[in-house]
This record gives sequence, C-alpha cells and structure tokens, in this order.
Amino acid sequence: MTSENQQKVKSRESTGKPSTKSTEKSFIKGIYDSLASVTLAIFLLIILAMTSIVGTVVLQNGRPEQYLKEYGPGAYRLFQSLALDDMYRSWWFLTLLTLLLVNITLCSIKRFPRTWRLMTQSPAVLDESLFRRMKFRGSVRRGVSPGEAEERIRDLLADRFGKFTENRNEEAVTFFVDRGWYGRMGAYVVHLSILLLAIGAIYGGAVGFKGFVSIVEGQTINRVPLRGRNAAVKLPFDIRCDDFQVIYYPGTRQPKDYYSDLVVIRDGKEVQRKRIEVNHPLIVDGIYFYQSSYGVDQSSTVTFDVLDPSGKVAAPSVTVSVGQPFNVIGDSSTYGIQQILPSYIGGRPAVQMSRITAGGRQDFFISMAAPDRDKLRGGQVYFRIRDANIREYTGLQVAWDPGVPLVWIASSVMIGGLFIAFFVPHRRVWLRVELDPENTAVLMAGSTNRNPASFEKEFDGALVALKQALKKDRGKDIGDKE
Amino acid sequence: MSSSTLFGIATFAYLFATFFYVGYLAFRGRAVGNAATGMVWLGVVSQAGAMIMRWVESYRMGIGHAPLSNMYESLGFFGWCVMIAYLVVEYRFKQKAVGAFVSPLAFVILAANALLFPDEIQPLVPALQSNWLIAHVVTSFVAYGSFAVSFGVSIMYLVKRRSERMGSEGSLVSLFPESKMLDEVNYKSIAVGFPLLSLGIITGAAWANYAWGTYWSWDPKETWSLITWFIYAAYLHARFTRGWQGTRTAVLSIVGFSAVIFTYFGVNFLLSGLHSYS
Repeated sequence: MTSENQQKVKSRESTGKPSTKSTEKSFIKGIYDSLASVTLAIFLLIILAMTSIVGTVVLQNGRPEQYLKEYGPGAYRLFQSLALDDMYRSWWFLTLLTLLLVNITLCSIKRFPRTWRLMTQSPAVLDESLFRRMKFRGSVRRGVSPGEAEERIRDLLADRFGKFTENRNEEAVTFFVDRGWYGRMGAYVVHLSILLLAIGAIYGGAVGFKGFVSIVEGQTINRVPLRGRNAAVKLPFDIRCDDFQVIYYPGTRQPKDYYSDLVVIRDGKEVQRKRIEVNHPLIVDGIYFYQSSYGVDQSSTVTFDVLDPSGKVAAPSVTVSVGQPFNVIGDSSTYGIQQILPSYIGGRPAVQMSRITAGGRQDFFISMAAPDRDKLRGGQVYFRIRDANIREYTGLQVAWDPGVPLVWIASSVMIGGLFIAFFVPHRRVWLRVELDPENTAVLMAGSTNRNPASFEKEFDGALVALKQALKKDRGKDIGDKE
Repeated sequence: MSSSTLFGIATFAYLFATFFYVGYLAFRGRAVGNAATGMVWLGVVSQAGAMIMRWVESYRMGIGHAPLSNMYESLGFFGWCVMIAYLVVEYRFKQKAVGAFVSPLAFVILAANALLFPDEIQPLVPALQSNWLIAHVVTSFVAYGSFAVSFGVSIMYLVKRRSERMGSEGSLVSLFPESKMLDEVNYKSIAVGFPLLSLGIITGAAWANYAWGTYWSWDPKETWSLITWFIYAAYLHARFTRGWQGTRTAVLSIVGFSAVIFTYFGVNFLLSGLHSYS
C-alpha cells in the first residue's frame, strides 16, 4: 500500500449537541457505512463460498421420494424449511447475492470520488511536503545551469517515460509524468461488470424461457413444454424434424456424433433448414434449439422372418414393436424386443431381443447387416430382420434468453477491468528543478498503486540516469556529490 | 519413444528437481541450483513432447483431438502448468528456493496420474467436440498452475514464520527468501491466476451456452469454480483495501488452492454432474 491510499477521509460529523435527529442520522449513516464497507464484502464473499457448498452436496431439485430414501424424513423436513433442495433459488441465498450487489454498488460509490481525485487531480507542483510524503524519492545537486538542466531532463523524461507536462512558477519548474491513471478504474469496471451480469441474468430469467421437446422424425411441433414447470410456450413458427442420425466410433457403441435435420416453417412455408448437432444449435428469432438427446419412438416396428435351422420358413413373419411379447408356432418360449438400435453396423438397424422360457431369460442380438447370424444361437428357430419401420425422435433443449448478450458484454468488460486493475499500475513521477542560477537542485519523487518492486527499479534507474545527465560535462565523471 | 515414457521421464525429472532444490536450500551451491532448474526444464520439455505425441497419435487413430479430454490428459497438463508457472516465478523473482515447495506438487500430480488413470487415447464424446475445449481448459489450468505456486509459497511463508517465532534460525528455513518476498510472490501468482480463472469460468459458460442451452446451471463443477473465485476475490479485497498481509493472506491462499483442488478432483470423484468426463 502506498501512503496515498492511507490518507484519512475527513469526518464530516456535526459538532453540535447530540439530538434525536442526529442520532437517527448517525444510525442511518452507520447502516450505510457498513453496507458500503469492504469488510462486509469480504464477509459476504466468504459466506457465499461456504453456503454454496451445500447445494453441491445435497441433491438439488429432486423428487420427494429421492430425498426420503437418501436422507430420511427428518432431514427432508429440514431441507424443505431451509429450501436446501433448491438452494440457489432460495430466499436466503438470493438475499446474500442481493446484499453483495448492494455492497458492491455502495462501496464503489463511496470510494469513487477519492479515486477520481487520485486519477485526475495530481498536484502539479512538487513542493517540500509532497516530496516528503512520497515513498520513492531522490535529489540531485549539480553544477549545470537551470536552463541546461531543464533541457537534459526533458530528453531524459521523453526517453524513459514518454509524455510529461510542465508547470512553472517563479521559484521552480515541475515536470510531471502521469502514466496508467486509468488503471485505478479497473476495480470499478469489474464491479460495474458484475452489476451488468446480474442485470443480464435477472432479465433473461424473467423474460426468457427454457424448455425441452422431443420430435419424432417427420413430426412438426410448435409447442415447447417448459423445464420444471407445468406449462408450455407456443412458438411463433413450426419446427419439423426430417431426419435423425447417430454415427458411432468404428467398432464401438460410443456415439461419435448425432444430427437432426430441422426445418423451420412459417405460415406454411419452409423458411430455414439446418442440420444441428451437439455444440451447433439452430437459432430462429433468438430462440436456440440444441441437440440434447435422442431415442426410438414407441410406434417403431420390426418385421422378422422366422426360419428353421436349415433356412426354410418355419412360421409366418411377425411385426412387433418394443416391449410387445410374441410367440412362434412350435416354440413354447416368449420373445420380445428389448431395444432397437436404428443405425448399427453399416448404418443398418439391429435389435436387442429377449427369449423367455420356463428355464429363464436369454438375451441376444440381431443385426440386419448379418442376416443369418442368429442361426448360430442354435435355437429351434432363428430370426432375420426383413424390414424395420423405425422412427427415431430427437430431444431438443429449447432456450430463449434475451439476457445472454448482456451477460457476454458484462463478461468482456470484467476481463478488461481485471486486466487493467492488475496490470496497469498508476505511476506518477515528479521532477522539480529550482530556478536558482546559483544552486540547481533537482527533486525527484514518485508513486505507484501496484507493483512497487518493479516501479522501484524503474524509478532508481531513472534517478541514476538523472544524475548522469546532470553532470557538468556529460561523459566525464567529475566526481561531484549530491 | 512413446508418450508414456516421456511422461515417466518428466515424473522423475520433477522428483530429482525436488531433491536438487532441497539441496540448494541446504548448500546454496550454484551448481545444485542450476541442476534443479535443468531438471524442471527437462520435465517441462518431455511433457510438452508427450502431449504433442498424444495429439499426433489421436489423429493417426482417426479421433483427433487436443490432449485435454480426460482425467489422465488434463492432470498431466495441470502438472505442466504448475511447472511453467513456477519457471516464470523463478525467472522473475530469482528465487530458486520456492522450487523446493512447488516441484514436489508436480511430481505427486504426475505420479498419481500414472498410477490411477488409464493412459489410452479415447474418442471424444460429442459434447467435447468444440473449439471452446482448448480455450476453456487452457485458461482454467494456467490459472490452477499459478494458484499452485501461490500455495507452495504460502506454505513456505507459514513454515518460515513459525520457525522465526520459535527462534530456531540457522536451519534450512533461514535460507528461505524473506517473508516480504514470499508474500509478494503469493500475491503476484494470484494476480495472474484470478483473471485467468475468471476467463476460464467465462469460456466455460460460453461453451455451456452452446452445448446445453444455458450458461450457468449451478452444476457442482460450476459452483465450485465460483466458490474458488469468491475465495480469491476475498483475498484480493482483504489485501488491497484492508491491508491484510503475511499469515492471514497465506492462509486464505491455502484455502483458495484447496478449493481449486476440490473443484478439480472432489467434484469428479465425490459429486456427480455434467463434468463427469473430465
């Protein structure tokens, strides 16, 4: 900390006799002062850090039975009374966040005038008292004339610091270097960005919506059920899903990518088509459609040929959907489809089957790409997929958040603010030259609000250079002292 | 040479660097100090080589992606960032003694990585196939690296203060840098780490908005990164405006790094959420 930050602000309290009015006033002032204090900021940051942990440990937005099963009825009652099952939206957590915002605002308002003065109203003349207050200082006494000294100092300053100003009176001239004054704005910029962020988040939350919809291939929708609420929004256009596809990493069942071909229809006309995938949403009127999940619609059916081990037709073919049990003539077991994989080997469908007999259950797999492979199972009959009428659905997150642009603006402002707060120190250097032909004395003083160690190097370097520059005959050391 | 051999070399390089740094603390020999720094460089270069090899290899396997996609890869990158941050500090402040407290961190990270996590290159799940991956992971881990340095320095500070109070000078501790310098390095590392952590959170939010349709969902990983952010914000305010220094800021810095570690490991292994793959 430099001395400038420790200057006390003069108290403006009245010196009159204490009255009810002034007690009231000082009470309000007391509240204001604590709301605007950095101590409160530190306290709130630590309390927020501690309480935020709760929501990462306790299940959030679960169903009652989940809580009862995991924590028991007593704990569940406690969770409900403190809203720990939805704590980031609870009244007390939002109160803490609001307090932090109020604190940031008041604290910035309270401190800003002083910062503004430090930024813009630096003393133009280096006098004795200012000189003594500065942490970095030095003086030089040399035999060169004041005029000559001024010339050489101008060169030196231009060389080492760039821009500077001059202030002249009868006794002396002060050169003043003022660099990175805007660095002091950093903290305020960051605080402002946090307020903007909050406004963006609140606005987006209040006006926008988030929902989830699944669309079967070929289907058109224009209503989106909202997440966590028993309501839906009607879109100002229709969305149709023409196709959905999953691509797997070769030889695995791990999806590499999944796509939906979406069509936007407005007043009966197709106005936009887009293939969306994870990380590449469709945007219509600011409404985002994100590829989120997928599955096979219940209406999908598969038609099997039923063959005997020699490859001859053993029974009429069957057409069934998932979970629908069926029997085959001459076979006492019950078969059923567990799961349909629409595009498996070679992009062709496969099914996970089950066979239930008196002895138990057997699972097996049939792929359309390997028609007679099921024979190897060695049953009384085997199946071959003749045809599959599979309809997949695509699961889409739908979000409209008009606060997002403000959130990104706020984020950029925050990064800019942090950068100047940490890496743009406000550095000031004063050089005073006495205009006394008998006695050319130069005083040099400096201050910085950040990184004093590196400023010290710069300052000392400049001081040495100054001493060098003010030698009577530059280049020759004549051994004079300060 | 395979990438795992290179990771192995790096692991032992950091172990030897630790020995040399401790030796340097004990004997102040220039040669020992240089050997320590040399070991760090060996480790950093081997790791860089290993990561590049994995990157190339993943393309050869047809599943090309930056080597930052699972626990094994990110942990290795974490260790690398710690040592890069350390090298910067060593260069800027000319304080080799700090290495005795930072290189063991990198050694433990890499050794644990080799023991605990499978090193095969895995294909990327669709959610990770994004340009945001690199920006998000790099900013976050460089921040973690700086915080690791501030942690090492804070431990040093507390050890030094304790032995000063007990009046037992003359031990290794008396050869630590002066406390003012340790405090300064602590602050500087956080001053670099904090904006990067903010950037890491923001790039993560931007990515989440693209992938999941919401930039913030109070997922445990997100929440813990915010907790970390709160702690370091408290540190900065305490230091700048309340004039906290020394022991109290060292303790806050240690608490902050504990939050970093929990954000990184605790969330993955103890809690569940969207970040389960990394």
